[in-house]
Amino acid sequence: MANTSNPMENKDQFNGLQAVRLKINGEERELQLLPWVSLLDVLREHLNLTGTKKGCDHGQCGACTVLCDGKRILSCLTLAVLKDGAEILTIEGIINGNQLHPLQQAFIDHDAFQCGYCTPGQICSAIGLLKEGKANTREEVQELMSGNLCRCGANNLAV
Amino acid sequence: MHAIECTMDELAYKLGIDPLDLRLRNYAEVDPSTEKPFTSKALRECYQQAANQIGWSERNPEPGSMTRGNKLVGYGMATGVWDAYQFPSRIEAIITNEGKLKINNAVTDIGTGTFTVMTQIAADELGLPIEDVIFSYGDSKKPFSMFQGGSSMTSSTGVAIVMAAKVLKKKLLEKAKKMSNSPLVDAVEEDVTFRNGGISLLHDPSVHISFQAIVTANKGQVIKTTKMGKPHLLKLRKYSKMTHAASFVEVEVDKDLKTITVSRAVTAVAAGKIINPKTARSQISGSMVWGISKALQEESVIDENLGKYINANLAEYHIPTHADVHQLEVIFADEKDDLINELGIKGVGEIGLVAMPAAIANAIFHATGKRINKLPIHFDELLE
Ligand code: FES
Ligand code: FES
Repeated sequence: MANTSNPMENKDQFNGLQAVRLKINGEERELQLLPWVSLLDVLREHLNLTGTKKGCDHGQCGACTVLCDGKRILSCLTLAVLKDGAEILTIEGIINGNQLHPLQQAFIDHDAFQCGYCTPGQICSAIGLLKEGKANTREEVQELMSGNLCRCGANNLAV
Repeated sequence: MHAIECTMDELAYKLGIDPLDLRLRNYAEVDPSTEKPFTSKALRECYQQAANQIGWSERNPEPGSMTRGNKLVGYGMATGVWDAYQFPSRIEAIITNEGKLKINNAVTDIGTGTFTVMTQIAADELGLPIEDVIFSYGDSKKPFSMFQGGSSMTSSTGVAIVMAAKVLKKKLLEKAKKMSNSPLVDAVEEDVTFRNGGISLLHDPSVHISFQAIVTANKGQVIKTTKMGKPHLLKLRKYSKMTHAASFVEVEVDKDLKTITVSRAVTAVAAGKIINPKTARSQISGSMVWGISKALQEESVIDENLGKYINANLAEYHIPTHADVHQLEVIFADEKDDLINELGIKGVGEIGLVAMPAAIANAIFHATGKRINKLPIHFDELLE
């Protein structure tokens, strides 16, 4: 971790903040963060990247799914300080210029969402799944995307 | 509805009559609760089309008789009805300087397709391409709309758009007639049509005045109207206004573990004219997922000592995941309704949910011979 000296030795100067470097959607970010702040809150509250959604904040719904070094993770259960140096990709970062990501386009074509609250998580999760090479059959997708809940019942269309 | 539809099923089995046949024999041509006729009711078509689609007649009606590997297979059906609501809605309709149509209304879009559908309706009415319609919504400062819910939005705000468009068209024609050297000077409403962003003579489309030209002649002042759209209550008092649906489902019940899967479901809906088949379909299939959820999953558990919910989180209050949702098919029966409102529409949303839980419970009976009269139905109810 960035700060290795014992903060208690100099109580007056210690404000609890830790330096964290994150590469978010290709952009280097230097942040001063409290150690208990979740990656989700960093994205939404500190960086104003509100595309990533907070559904439950308990790791139960998948709405907060982002890609961390290419792997899908629940950003609400991830302390940002633990990801120092990592590369984070969120829904805001998957667009290619003006070109929607093929999965975004597919979601639109199939009307695979209603309110859209679960959708950024669904899409990030699907990208992660494809990278894992596991999205080969409908059953596989259904099973492995089941961490991403949808309250609107757009399941079938999403899959 | 759930109790009635499960009881109908039980009755059918006791009488040795096909559950579908029992319903057709007792088909209500007038609303039995009010003795009023329906504005329209294509429920018979729903039954027939959904039954064909799922292969109802090919099943063995004997409970517990059908299997697939280690699974018992069951088929069940049920009927759904929902009120065709329509609420007042105020529309401000404006022809802008560029000859585009702007519609202002406070309605929200919670993902039901309201934005798309309202834009479509407005474009149709004024004969404009979709790109030339600006539907501006989702702000309570805008003219009044009811809340989004009850499958009422398209018939409330959508119909109000049609009513406002009629007034706006009158205004546009009047202004067009007053333009200097207007080729429409003698035209009456019946002689003209609204298309290609302007007004044309019906019998000679080459005579055309664009909306933009009308606004320019109006000293560049936009042309607007405000109209409160309301249902025709006096006329409609004499009728029963309902959407109808029939759900047919196939369930699989694991012989040993008794886990229940809705492997296939078909819902046919009669809701008058369907404005946008794609978003309407999403509404119905989403509702069907809620039906699966109500039948098999959602349950709030109360701690009776403390009076608190003990499963107030998504890990313990279960809703369907992708793995719980299999083949869902949606059919819209042709239904023409000239009475209900200007658009002949009744709304789609909840109607996809109503019949599902009973159809699932009835299918579980067919699969296992066990009649479970409590929701949700969990596998433990089926254990010996
Ligand atoms: S917000 Fe992270 S899983 Fe629900
Ligand atoms: S689209 Fe609304 S929660 Fe999935």
